[in-house]
Amino acid sequence: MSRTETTQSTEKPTKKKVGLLQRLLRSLYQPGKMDMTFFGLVMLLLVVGLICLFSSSYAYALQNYGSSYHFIGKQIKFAVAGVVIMLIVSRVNYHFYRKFAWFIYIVSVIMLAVVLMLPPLQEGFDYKRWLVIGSFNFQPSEVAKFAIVLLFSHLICDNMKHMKRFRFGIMAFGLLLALVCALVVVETHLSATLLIFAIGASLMVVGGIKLRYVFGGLGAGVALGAGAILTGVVDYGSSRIQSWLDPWSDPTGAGWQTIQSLLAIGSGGVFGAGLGGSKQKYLWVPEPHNDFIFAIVCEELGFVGALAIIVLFGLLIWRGFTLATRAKDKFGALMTFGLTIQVGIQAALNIMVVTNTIPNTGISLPFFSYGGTALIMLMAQMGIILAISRDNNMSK
Amino acid sequence: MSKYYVDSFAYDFDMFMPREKRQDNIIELDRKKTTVKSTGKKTRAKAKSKRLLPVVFTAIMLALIVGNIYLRVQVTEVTSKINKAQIENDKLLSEQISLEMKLENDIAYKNLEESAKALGMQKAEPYQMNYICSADVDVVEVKEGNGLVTAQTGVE
Amino acid sequence: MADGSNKSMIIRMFAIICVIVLLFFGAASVNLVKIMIIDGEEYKTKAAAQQLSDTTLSAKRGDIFDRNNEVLATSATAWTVYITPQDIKTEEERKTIASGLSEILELDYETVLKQTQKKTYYEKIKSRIEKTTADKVRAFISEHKLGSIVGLDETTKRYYPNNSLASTVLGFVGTDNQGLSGLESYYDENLSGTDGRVRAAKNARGADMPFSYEKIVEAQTGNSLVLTIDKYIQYVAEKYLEKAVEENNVTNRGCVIAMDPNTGGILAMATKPDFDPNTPFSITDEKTLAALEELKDTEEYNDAFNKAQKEQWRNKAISDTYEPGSVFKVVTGSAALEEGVVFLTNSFSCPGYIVIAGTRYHCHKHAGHGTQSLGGAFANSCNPAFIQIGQTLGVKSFFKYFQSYGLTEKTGIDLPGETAPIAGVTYHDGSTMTNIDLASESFGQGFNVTPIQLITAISAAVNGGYLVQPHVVSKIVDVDNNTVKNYETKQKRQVISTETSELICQLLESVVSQGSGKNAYVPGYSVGGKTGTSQKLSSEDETARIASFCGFAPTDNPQIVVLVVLDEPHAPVIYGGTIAAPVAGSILSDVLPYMGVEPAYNEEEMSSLSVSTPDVTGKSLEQAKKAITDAGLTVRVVGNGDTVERQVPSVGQPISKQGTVVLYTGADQAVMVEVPDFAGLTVSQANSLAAEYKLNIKFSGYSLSASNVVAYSQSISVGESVEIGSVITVSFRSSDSSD
Repeated sequence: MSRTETTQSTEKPTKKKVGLLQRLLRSLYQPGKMDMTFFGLVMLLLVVGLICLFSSSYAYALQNYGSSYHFIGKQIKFAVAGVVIMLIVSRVNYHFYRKFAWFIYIVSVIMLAVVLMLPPLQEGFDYKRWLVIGSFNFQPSEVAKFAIVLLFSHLICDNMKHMKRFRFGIMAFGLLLALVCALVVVETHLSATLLIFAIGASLMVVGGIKLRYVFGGLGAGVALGAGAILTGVVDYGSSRIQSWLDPWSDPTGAGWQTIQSLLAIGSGGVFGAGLGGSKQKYLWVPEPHNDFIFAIVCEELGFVGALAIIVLFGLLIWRGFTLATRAKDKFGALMTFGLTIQVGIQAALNIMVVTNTIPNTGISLPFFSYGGTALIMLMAQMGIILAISRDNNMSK
Repeated sequence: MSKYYVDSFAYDFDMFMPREKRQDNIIELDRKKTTVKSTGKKTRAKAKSKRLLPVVFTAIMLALIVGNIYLRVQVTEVTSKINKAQIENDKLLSEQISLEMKLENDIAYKNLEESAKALGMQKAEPYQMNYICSADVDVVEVKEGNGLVTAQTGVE
Repeated sequence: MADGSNKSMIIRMFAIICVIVLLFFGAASVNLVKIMIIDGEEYKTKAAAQQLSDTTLSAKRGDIFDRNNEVLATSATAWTVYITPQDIKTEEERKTIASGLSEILELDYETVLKQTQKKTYYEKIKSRIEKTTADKVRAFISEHKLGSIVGLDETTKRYYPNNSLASTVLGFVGTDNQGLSGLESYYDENLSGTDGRVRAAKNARGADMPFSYEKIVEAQTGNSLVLTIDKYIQYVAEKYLEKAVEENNVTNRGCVIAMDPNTGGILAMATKPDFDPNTPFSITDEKTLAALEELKDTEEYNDAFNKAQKEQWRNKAISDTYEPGSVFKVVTGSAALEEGVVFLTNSFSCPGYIVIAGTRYHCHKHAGHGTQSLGGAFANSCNPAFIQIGQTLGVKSFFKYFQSYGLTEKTGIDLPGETAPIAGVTYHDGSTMTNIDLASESFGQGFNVTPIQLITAISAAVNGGYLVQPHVVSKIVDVDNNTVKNYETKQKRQVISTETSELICQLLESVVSQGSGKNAYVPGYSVGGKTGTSQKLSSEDETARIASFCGFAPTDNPQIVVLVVLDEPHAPVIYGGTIAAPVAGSILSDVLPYMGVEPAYNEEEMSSLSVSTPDVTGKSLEQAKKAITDAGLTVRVVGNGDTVERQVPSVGQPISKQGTVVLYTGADQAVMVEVPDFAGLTVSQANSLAAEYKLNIKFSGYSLSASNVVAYSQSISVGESVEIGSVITVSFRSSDSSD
């Protein structure tokens, strides 16, 4: 089956409409067997994530929503839908997305701008992160994340030899990245900014920019970040720094969440309190079903369990890397790589926040944290990786 | 095979070579085995059970894990109910006592007398009071022989 | 389209992944090691510290019951409403809170608003509200979503359902539920019980976590007190005491003690004016309130207020000392009889004065009583007679009995605040007493005692001679009603012989039947007692007096002793016999039937008793007349009809034996008449006046034949228009200058 674009096939002069549709569908179809290891890892992480969510959330759910199953119930529905979507997406020819690379990028930039102009969603919070469409609310930064991966993979794939040049490799990409990052930063969503920047930069590096620019870029990134915090563009900076370094300096205010998280983790010891055995989840750790779910996981599964989950994520990243190296073309490789490290960096950032290795930035743990739309998007992206893996498994 | 050394007249190095395994028989047997068995119901069942086993195992594990959490959820819910009921109980007890005291206050002598006066009642006159001597002793009369013998049992 | 990843790509990907895995995950893992393994124990302890709350389980306070197990004091859970003003964000929120709370809790809107403006984290709005109010507050909170700003704390409330009944005896509790006065204070340890402890894992909201961590030490409910006090007798005592305090304008409070002379159990102990233990910090006496109003906004207000509070809590019966005056003559007389230096047959002459060692002591009757027997000396309450008796006794013997009657030490009653006698200060010690001191002391002046000491002494004199231990608590029971402690009658010692005691009873009986104590007389009962009108030598006011009376009944076997003390009456007549004795008489007349003592009326009393008006309405005139005359009453007919349409007094109403029943025949208008003034009239005068006005009199207060008995109050005021035949209760009392 040729991987020609659909445009070519439509040039064929034929009056058979059915034939056209058939060929359209056929060109969208991605044959081949998916990589069972990766699939297995995703499912394993999903199931473990669900179990941990159930255990972490029931106390909070009962207290605040009257039903212990409030969070897990919804999450399971989304998980099932997610698996279905993942399987469907894995059958879609991933080259199809290249057509929409620029389109999706522009749409996400527009949405980011729109979100900034709308009033904040929740009173008291001045994060402008969410767009509400009907009963559906999602974060444009999530779309922007995917847009960067897609667009960069698309552009790099076509222009590998130009990557070495500064103007192209750094400037062009840098601008594209900076635009998105700037919009997200103004939302005051520092964690998403970091994540998007990291993904974009990683892709640029893999794309082949000159190494000295890498280190220069690193420096610039750090300087930008620090500058943003210090100059007050991101204005919750200083108190966050303070409570990061010494959470007990403000035990009832900024430091509360960190302290509760640390107490939970510390209580885990080596083998943990056993599944369901966390005490901190009983309203001590704020929002145990969300950003800080890993703290409860630590308390229940102990050091052994926590490490096991870190290893699981590590295995997922490793398998993703392997699939990326086996990709049949650069676009597939870059997409796989980009999507893989997206999960990886996010998981890493979340765990670092929960363990107070870095100050709190508000980022969720993939597969574990409660969040329907985030889960669906994650599963879709895993589907894309699986689609690429199907392609890998096709004979030459 | 003698790939590894040059022929020698003196020694028969063939003897030192590792023997090739004669797999033919085994292969044939295997083939025979599989061909014989692949048509039977038993092989299908066994193959199925081989695939099924890990699935069943995982299902059981999952059930145990989820069941464990579910039990904890139940305990949490019951504890929450108990707490709420306890608080309600305390509240109602307090209400009971406060109402009882209100009642006591209503029939406190001072209020009682005022209410009686308002109703037009008057203090009892001496002629309205009759004094009764209540026997606080049980008297039993027993006929014995010629006369009556009266016995008394005291009741404290 | 192009080929797959090239080598450099792969290397770079690998490098980045390494960064992620090693740097990020690695750093996190290292931190995990630090937190979970190295510092694990420390965190576990900290976590446990915040989760494991050691809560104190407050013990429920015990109750106080009267001798018939009626509740006098009990506790229940209540709530305190508080706000966190710092968390109020908008002005509108402030107004909502202020208006809502002030309405539900019945407080002033402005006051609550001011409280919302303070910069604190805890502001008490109202304490000790009950469940219905608390529920309203809760509904208000959830309706306006004020959960983080308005809250309810659990606390306890002490209930005294009988308001001020026995307030000075019961005492009251403070904000921490500790006894601050009276029995609540004296028996605080018993009543408080023992707090328990719960060690449980709690979530951040303070509710239990479902972990089997609990170690419970149950709280032990406090023990309850069963008193010797009888609610009814206490009520009666307080009713008549209050009336006397008011009518006679007693400015330094009055008190009444009623005691069982055989067991020492206090049946009633009252001080008026007192307070309501439900609101102990408010001043209840109107006069005091008026005085404080004047001082408001001045510097002295606070001090005056505190002083007024302490005053109203003070149990006069055990804390205030006074010179007992003539009531003490019982001690002098009984001592002399016991010592055999004086006999019933002795006579004493009173020329109106006596001179001892150059000092002249006047009798209250300036003309003197002439010659009188011992009985007469008691009945007349003659000072010179008792001075003589005292001198005959001598200092040493006198003091011996003074001591034996317990007047040199506290009675040891189980109440806080009993004033102890101090030798040389409140009384003359036997070693330093002179004859002149003896002279005054013989008739009860020159030393101080507390009312409880005095009544205990008098009880000893009339109960057969035994000094008993007065006590207020009969037994202590636990929450399951098991007796923890039983207070038995304790006889301290025998002061006088049984024979002497009997003699004293007889002598004191004549005080009431013939002497200065006539106003304590109760028809149908034999009542004995002694009057007293003492000077307050400590007071600057020379005319300040204390009117007192100590009575007991029945004289052949005393069941109850009553002491009435009125401190500084300001009325036209202030003699103990005139204003204090009637109080005792009224009390005994209500209480003796209640105690089951059957009255035995003599002929004279019988004739003055009331009967029930017979039912003649609707009957023929003939029948009606017969029924009425059969009942010993007279008839008056109004109208010309044959049937009785209406009768006055109506059926069943009490009417005195010589009364008149008015029969209305025909539908005639009621004949009205204006009530005349009976004040100051003798019995026969009052009778004539009543007949003249066609009204019926009901006699109250007294036996009709004694001399100098005059009316002093009537139940229907002068000038009011009433139907003819109506019954008017007229109270009489003896106006002999007693004592």
